[in-house]
Amino acid sequence: MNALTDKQYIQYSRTMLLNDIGETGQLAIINSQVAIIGLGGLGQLVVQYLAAAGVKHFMLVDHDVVALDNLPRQLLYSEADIGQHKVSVAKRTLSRLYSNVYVNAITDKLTETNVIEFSKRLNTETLVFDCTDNFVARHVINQLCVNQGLTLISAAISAYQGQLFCIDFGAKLSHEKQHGCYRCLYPVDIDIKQTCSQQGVLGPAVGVMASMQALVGLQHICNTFTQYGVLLRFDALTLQWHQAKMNRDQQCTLCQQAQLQGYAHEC
Amino acid sequence: MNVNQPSQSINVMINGVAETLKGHVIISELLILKQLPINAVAIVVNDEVLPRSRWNHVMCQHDDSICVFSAVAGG
Ligand SMILES: [Zn+2]
Repeated sequence: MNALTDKQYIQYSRTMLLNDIGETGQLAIINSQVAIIGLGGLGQLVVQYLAAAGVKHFMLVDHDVVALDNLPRQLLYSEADIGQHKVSVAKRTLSRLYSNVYVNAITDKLTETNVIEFSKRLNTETLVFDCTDNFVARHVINQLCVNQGLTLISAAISAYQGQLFCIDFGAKLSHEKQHGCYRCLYPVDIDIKQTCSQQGVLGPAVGVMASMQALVGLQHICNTFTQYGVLLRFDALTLQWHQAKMNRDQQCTLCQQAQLQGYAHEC
Repeated sequence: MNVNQPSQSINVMINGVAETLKGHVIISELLILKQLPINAVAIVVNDEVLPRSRWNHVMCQHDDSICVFSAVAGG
């Protein structure tokens, strides 16, 4: 789409009133393609914010079904949806609420063995949201984004601790390559025991992280985002945010591989 | 002549709490000293992530602000 309809002018007027977004930014939102992996507490809100903002092309990935104990924080689902695949419910609801939304609902579990096959379904412009609930999936998604040169927006929360970052692995400038990747931050052999199911979490705390993820995503699409490679940590108990610049680990084999491939492409 | 030179001590902040460290302490030693789980944390020094492969090579400096935190994976 390269021009807005009259209805869209009214519908998205508040977004376009932001000078740095305007009609160009709104068109970029409408023409964007996003993949949301994990449709739990984080993903279900990210997808609603993006669809409401005008995103039309979604790939939604989750093998999980709606359960009763999801409902206090996963507001996209209701009791009537229990037992149904989350991505199917999301597709149905989004199609009802928003016009011309295309949802590719995938119920396969993304793993190290199918990640290459999976990557063929994405194009270089796809913006990837990591909204998963486990460390293994997070590493697979990181690998996918590093190898394909995609932009990754990753958020996580357990108990009162939230974390968020955005890295553009397709960035060409050398200083942008110094942020490293998820594996540079958390090596694969790191001990991790926290997941929502084991730790407990308050619904709005998940919502804070998901809203930030959606906000970062819209800014990236509109070319207004500047905080690439910044790790944001949120303490949902004291309500404090902490920022830190991410750094590449020179021993990270994934980043080394990507760099070598980069050189090979340039030759 | 004072042969018992007091070992040099430095002040650092660890997760927002002021601490005094005696002598030269590298980051990996600090984790052991504070009984923090080396295999379960990430470290930020002065608002920059310090990757794990650097922990044996970076010395704590006076006035450093060090944050040690766990990986979070829930969603
Ligand atoms: Zn890396």
